[in-house]
Amino acid sequence: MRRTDALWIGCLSVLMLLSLWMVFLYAPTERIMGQVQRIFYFHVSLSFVSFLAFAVVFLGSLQYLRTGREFWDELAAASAEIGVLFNGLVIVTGSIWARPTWGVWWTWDPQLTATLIMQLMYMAYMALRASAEGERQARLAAVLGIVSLVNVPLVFFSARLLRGISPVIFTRRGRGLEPAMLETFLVSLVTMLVLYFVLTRVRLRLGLAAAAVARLRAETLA
Amino acid sequence: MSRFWELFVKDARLELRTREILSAMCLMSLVVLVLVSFTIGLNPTVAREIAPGLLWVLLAFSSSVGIGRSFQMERERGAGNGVLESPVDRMTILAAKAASNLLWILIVQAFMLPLFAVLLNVDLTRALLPLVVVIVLGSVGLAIVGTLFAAMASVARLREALLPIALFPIVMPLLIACVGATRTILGGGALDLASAELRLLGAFDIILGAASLLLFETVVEEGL
Amino acid sequence: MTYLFFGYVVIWLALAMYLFLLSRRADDLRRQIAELRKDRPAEDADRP
Repeated sequence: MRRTDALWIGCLSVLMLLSLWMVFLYAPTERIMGQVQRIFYFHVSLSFVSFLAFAVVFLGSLQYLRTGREFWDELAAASAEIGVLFNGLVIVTGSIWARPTWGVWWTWDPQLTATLIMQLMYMAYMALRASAEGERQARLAAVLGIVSLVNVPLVFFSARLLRGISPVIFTRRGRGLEPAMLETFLVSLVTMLVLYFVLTRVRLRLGLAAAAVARLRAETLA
Repeated sequence: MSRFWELFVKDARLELRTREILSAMCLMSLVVLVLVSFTIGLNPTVAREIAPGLLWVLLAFSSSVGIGRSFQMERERGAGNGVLESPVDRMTILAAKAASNLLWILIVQAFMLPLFAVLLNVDLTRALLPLVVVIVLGSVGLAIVGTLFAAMASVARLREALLPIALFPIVMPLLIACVGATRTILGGGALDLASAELRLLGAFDIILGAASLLLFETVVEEGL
Repeated sequence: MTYLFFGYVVIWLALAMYLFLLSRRADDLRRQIAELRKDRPAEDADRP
């Protein structure tokens, strides 16, 4: 257990340093957007990984309803928390990027809007988790975890419809990338994946331990 | 099917006697409407600009008031578990509750639309039929998903607070599509100009409706 | 350029804060386990 932990953390540190080096020094400066474009590498990686995190919430919820095993519920809880953290960072970095690129902190650009709605959905998921206990909490949370993910594609479609409602500055983020940029992006993506994996593992173990302690306490009191 | 009608008629009859939910929903619409006109200041230009959005804000808020009550009444009278113990398919219970919620929403809209048209100086007569189509499609999704969430909220600790927190983000795609379609219609466009919005609405109703029906049983497993 | 640094600083701060929160929760858990140990000394005794 301890050895694998050290291994993962070592792996993560190396990847982190490597990706930072690539982002700041290896990747060329983008001609039109300039230096700010370098946020792109972490911003987009974080957004991919937060999708993964929410998909894991869905899987955990589904598996929990099928098997009733605590593990799946705790996995969903851990993944939702880290998904909200990452997705929040996507919003903040997107906003920091928007300021020098488009001159405003926030635009109702379809991507940003959809990300924000997603963030609200999973914050509600966490609020629900906080407002019930035990098996009931797990069941309610699983239902919301499933409904939320089913809703994600609809959120993205609807955000595109928003064009008619508020002014949108069109963005083309994924234009032809230079090889060095693509490499940097891929390394950042892998780094974020490993970061997600390590954080979820820690959070999952904490959640399982907390559940076990709560059970022991209940037994001791009884 | 007959059980569905039985439950639906029981709810409808009870509500027609007390009219608690309907009056609360109408009042909520009115209060929000007045609040918006005072805080934002609805001169005719602004009113025309925000009318489609305001219509759906009113509908969403008033619906959440009504939907939130749908299981509370049973809870207070202790009848919720009675319904659940009776040998009725859980899906039927949700469907019946959602149908009565849909009915409340539509009745409230029937009262509010003329008032809305007068207060905001919007001409609804030309666009009435397509508007009704959009309102019905939107209300169906809102009622089904809302009823599932009302059941969830009524067993969780946050109760009243939880319903809007959880429901509004989930129905955001539905609201965006409805507002878009309403804007097209009020602007004088035909219904097929809003086909993208209508497709999204249909998809939302079908996908989330099916998910709600399937998941309801899980929510009420231990009673209300 | 400042915006770029701002962006990465925010990412690191958020991660650090999250780790801090996790460690707080872990500490809390450790405290609870210690309490439990005190309450159930008998069972603990037969463990090495």
